[in-house]
Amino acid sequence: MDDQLDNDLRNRIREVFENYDDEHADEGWLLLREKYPEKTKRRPIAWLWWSSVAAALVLLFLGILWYNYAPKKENQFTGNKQHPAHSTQKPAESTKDNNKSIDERNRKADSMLNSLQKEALANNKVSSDHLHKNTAGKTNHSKSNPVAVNKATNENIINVPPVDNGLIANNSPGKNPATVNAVKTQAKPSVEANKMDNTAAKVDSGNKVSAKSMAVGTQPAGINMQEQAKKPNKTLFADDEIPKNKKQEKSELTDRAVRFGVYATSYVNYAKGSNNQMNLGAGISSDIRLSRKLNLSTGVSIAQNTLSFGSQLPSNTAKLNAAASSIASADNQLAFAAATPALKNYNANLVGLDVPINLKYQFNPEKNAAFVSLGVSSGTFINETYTSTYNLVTPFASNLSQTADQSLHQSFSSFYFAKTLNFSFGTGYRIGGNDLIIEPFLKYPIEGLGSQQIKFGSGGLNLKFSLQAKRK
Amino acid sequence: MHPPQRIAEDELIRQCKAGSLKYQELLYKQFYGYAMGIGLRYGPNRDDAMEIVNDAFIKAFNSMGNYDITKPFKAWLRTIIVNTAIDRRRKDLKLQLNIELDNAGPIISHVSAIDHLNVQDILSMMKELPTIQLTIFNLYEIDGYNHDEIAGMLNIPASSSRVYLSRAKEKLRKLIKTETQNHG
Repeated sequence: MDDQLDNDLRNRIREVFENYDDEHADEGWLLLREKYPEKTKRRPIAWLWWSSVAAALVLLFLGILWYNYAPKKENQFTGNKQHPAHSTQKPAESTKDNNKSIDERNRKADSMLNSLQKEALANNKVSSDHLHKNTAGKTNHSKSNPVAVNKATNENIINVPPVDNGLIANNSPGKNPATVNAVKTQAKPSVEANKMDNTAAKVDSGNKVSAKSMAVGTQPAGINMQEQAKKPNKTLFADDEIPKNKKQEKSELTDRAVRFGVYATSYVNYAKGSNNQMNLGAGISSDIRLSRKLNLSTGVSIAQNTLSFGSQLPSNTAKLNAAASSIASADNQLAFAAATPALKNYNANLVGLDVPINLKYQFNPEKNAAFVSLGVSSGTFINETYTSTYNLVTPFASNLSQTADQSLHQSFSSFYFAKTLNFSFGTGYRIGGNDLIIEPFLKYPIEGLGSQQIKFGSGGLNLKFSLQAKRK
Repeated sequence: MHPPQRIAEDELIRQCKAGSLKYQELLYKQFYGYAMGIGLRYGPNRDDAMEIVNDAFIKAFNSMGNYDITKPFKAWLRTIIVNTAIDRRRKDLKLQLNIELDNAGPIISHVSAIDHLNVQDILSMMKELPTIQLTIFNLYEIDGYNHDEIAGMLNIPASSSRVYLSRAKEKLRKLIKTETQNHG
């Protein structure tokens, strides 16, 4: 009797549960997806991180290339122009090359000088000896070395643009001493620290040496330019060499218009109602010199921003409410008709390009890199992901709480301009020829950012490597 | 509720072995009812049953590579679900090993009443059983394990398994009698 009952019961149970149908498979799948697969959920973050690093490296590489290329051209030019002593280390080659390059230009000048010479021979009472003596005395070169004087004036002629020579030729200098001033005025801006100034100044100071007599004095140099240049003149410019180098170095120190740097940053994102999230970023920067102590600092960085709001939404939630409605309507199909979705968690993940424009005040740029900086940031977001997790209470079992995710993805949806206030300060340490700068910073949101207009900021530390900064 | 799209079991399993999340979802929805039928018998309530089922499916997805496609998938899945349920309730089972079964009164057979038992009736009766008895009843009577296997799974002597099964049956008979009297 009992066996029969047991068999019947067993068969009935098997029959009932073998054919059991449950309509909550969708609900169950949502629950399962919270746990599975774990690794897949982290892939986008990893992908974003590595793509950010790759982008930063590309920017760094391009920046270094550009930086190295641009100054070299300038140095080559100024080196030939401002280092006669250096160039005469190989006088036969370097001077010859230099002369070759300007040979065409000086041809006209030579012919003009020849004509001036003829005029001078006829009109000028000042002897060439007097000129040599006078010029040598004023330039502190050896009196008994007219070649040196000629060399000096030769260089002036070489360096003065053809326009200046034209001025000399066209202005009948012997008859109009005032034109000497014109010569000086034209020559000075174009050739800084040039001996032409010395000569012109001497003429101007009442020695009554006209431009014609200058022409007479410089005429042999003009004619024998290449021969003169071949002669060694190290000793001639020995006195000038050190000051010139110093001047050039000082010029590089103070006149470098743009300095580039690369930096990595770690920071904490903050927003009202959000848990603070630690993030990383990287970028390049450039400091454009406005004055000795003031720089305009800009650049571009790529950085990730993550915010986790829990059940408390950020201020602007129009789209989120729409998302909640869609969840509710979807749940009607899932036999959750009576359920109202309650926000359990709201996460935002934004990978952005940030373009700061800051004014940077350096306290003592010659001695250290301490500074304070203030400005605004603009930019856009490469990727925006907003995930809302809702609690769903089923009527089937009051204690059964289900969740549903709603995600929103956007890329480059908007560009924001000056919506973040930047403040930072920092100091630097010398490493080789470069500066390692430690820069605590704070970004304060002026308005909401991203497609959801979330008002969030960040605070953290920049570790910046400023390339080839020159400082004593 | 839209019924899940029925796809050939072999194709589903092949795609799941390849790691396709889409096909894993289809497989889940196709076998969800079957799995819940097992989970509900072992879990104390629906929430626990669903957790048992989901944990079992996750194990199944993760070990799909080891599944022998020549064997029935349902049997393989049933094994995973039962083991998952036992693992989850192992602590409860140990606590209840020493609980004595109430004295069962004489059972009056009402076979006809059994034919009318539905899921809720059966689950209601099962809830009256102590966990250890319920588990052993399910394992032996419904899922086909023998006492030695049950002893190994629950880490108890096979003789204890027999005793608990006997007590479970007695309790159920008593409950059926009561049910029949209520409807009689």
